Amino acid sequence: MNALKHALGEIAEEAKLYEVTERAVRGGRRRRRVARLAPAAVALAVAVGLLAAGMPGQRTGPDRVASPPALVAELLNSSTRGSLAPDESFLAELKDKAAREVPTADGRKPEVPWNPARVRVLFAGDVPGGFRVALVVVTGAHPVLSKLSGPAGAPASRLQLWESDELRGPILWNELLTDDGAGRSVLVLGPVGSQVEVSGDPHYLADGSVRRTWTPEPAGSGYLVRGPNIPAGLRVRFNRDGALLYEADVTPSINRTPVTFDPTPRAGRPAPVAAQEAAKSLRVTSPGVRYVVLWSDDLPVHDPNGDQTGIGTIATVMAQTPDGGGPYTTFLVGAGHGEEPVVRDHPTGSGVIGDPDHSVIAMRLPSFDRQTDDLQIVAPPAAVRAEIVSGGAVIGSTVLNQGAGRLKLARTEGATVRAYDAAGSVVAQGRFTDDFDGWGYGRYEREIRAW
Amino acid sequence: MDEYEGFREFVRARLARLSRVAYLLTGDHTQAEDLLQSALVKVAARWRRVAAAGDPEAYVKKIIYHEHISVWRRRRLVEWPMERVPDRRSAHDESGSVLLRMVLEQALAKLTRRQRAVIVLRYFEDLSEAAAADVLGCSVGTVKSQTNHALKRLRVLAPELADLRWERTEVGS
Repeated sequence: MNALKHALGEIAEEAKLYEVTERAVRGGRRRRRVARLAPAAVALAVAVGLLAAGMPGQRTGPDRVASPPALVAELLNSSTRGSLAPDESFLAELKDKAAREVPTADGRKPEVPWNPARVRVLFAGDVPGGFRVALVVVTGAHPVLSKLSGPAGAPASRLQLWESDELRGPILWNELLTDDGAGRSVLVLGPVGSQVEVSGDPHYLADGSVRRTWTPEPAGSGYLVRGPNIPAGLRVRFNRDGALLYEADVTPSINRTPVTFDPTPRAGRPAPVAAQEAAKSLRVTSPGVRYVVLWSDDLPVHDPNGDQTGIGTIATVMAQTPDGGGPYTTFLVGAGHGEEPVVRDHPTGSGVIGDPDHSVIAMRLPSFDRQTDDLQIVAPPAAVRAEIVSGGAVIGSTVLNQGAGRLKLARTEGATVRAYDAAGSVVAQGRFTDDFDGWGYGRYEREIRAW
Repeated sequence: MDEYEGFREFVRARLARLSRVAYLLTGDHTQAEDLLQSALVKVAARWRRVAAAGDPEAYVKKIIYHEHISVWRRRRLVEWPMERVPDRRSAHDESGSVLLRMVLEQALAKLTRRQRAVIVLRYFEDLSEAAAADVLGCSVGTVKSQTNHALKRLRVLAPELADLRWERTEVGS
């Protein structure tokens, strides 16, 4: 049996029977009835698009230092970088290839080549690990970025189109794996003139902050190439005019090495399997790290496909470093029902905290179904009550047992979480937001896009 | 005569298969349902003509695949004001088909829509290159190159699957 076909078949079995027939019929009728109102519909769609684009707080990080269009314009106006930037014949051949191959918005190969005047080469050159790579953009209202790669030294005609997507900001390409899979090369590219710095030495402090030593790359280059042996935890940032523009993990950080620790939780019931899954995903392996199960418990699971429905287990585990703080993550293990259990996590369930006796975590719960309004609080064991405060008003509260509790809270783009002890004193305070665009390039320390 | 005569029956009879294709293409129940709904709305609007042509399933599949690829840019806008925070599966399991499936699932999510479509057409639907090209409305050469790009990328994205024999003899280089 073809293994790929078999695996695809297994994935397909996860599909539900989508009840769309009647809605399709009704939708078809409705579609035709409103056909004459198409201009109004288009106007409405544009308005919705603008409203969506203007939604505040969809990105994390400091104050924005550039609007997306301005930043994209800066990238497009930057000179070509990379070892092949001076090679005019290579660039000409590359532009010609891109004009013929960069797909249209619907993903098709263009029937008529793009106007070469619209093609910009942002980067072309060899990078460590034996790769020749190029970043090419077809300009327009929605500039399309294409990544091309091939073996080091290859002519432009031999580079293969890797993927195309809309250009929206600095580019991080970290999927250049060597043939044996053991090495990985990366290319990170920002505007010319931005200062690039790297750090591979995080210190997680007791106050919840992260101290890093940043090493500058050659001034003004605006890009970084590294590989094929990249240390875990390497992070890159771009500054411009003294302000942070972009910061992210250079490589994925999931670790699969099992670790030894006491699965007894500070709050809740023991869940050793979930705790182990969470602990071994944490990447901190330096001496003196202590794995602490902050909270674990049973959790009802509903899986639309049935396999994992039942009572699952969940655990939040922290890798506490000698500096007092550390990264944490939360894993939910499904019921399994004799099958292999399946694990899920959630973007709000991972991060960095300081001393757990003075820190509070608020997170949504991982789910096999649709997201619920549940907000889980994990505070120091001395805490007996938690409040969620937004705009000076308490928008939610819950009693805590050994520091853990749960409440219902509608989606929020930012709130303060306070945990109180029996005397009414605040023992820990933190922030919570639903404002996460997935994980991005940063699982514990978030990717920061200051635009 | 009901202009949708036979449409409901057709969809009900094929719903399981169509649902699986939609889920494989999107990797998400909500998006799969939206994709299927969107495609079937188009089919319903011209059902009598589609049914009269004699091969509605082929037509529906074409619509689904084209609809899948055409949202390449649109989805960026509609996903912005996310009402639900995404969660994801993690490949915690170290062995067996569960790991294989989960790793492949995550790798598929990183393919371009067109690459994902050719993988589903060639290796799930088991279509020939010519048939896949017909569904996608492109040349056989495009299917060959897209398949190769997709397989190469899957090997990079999912090195855990490197020992699998994915190549099919008719796939050119």
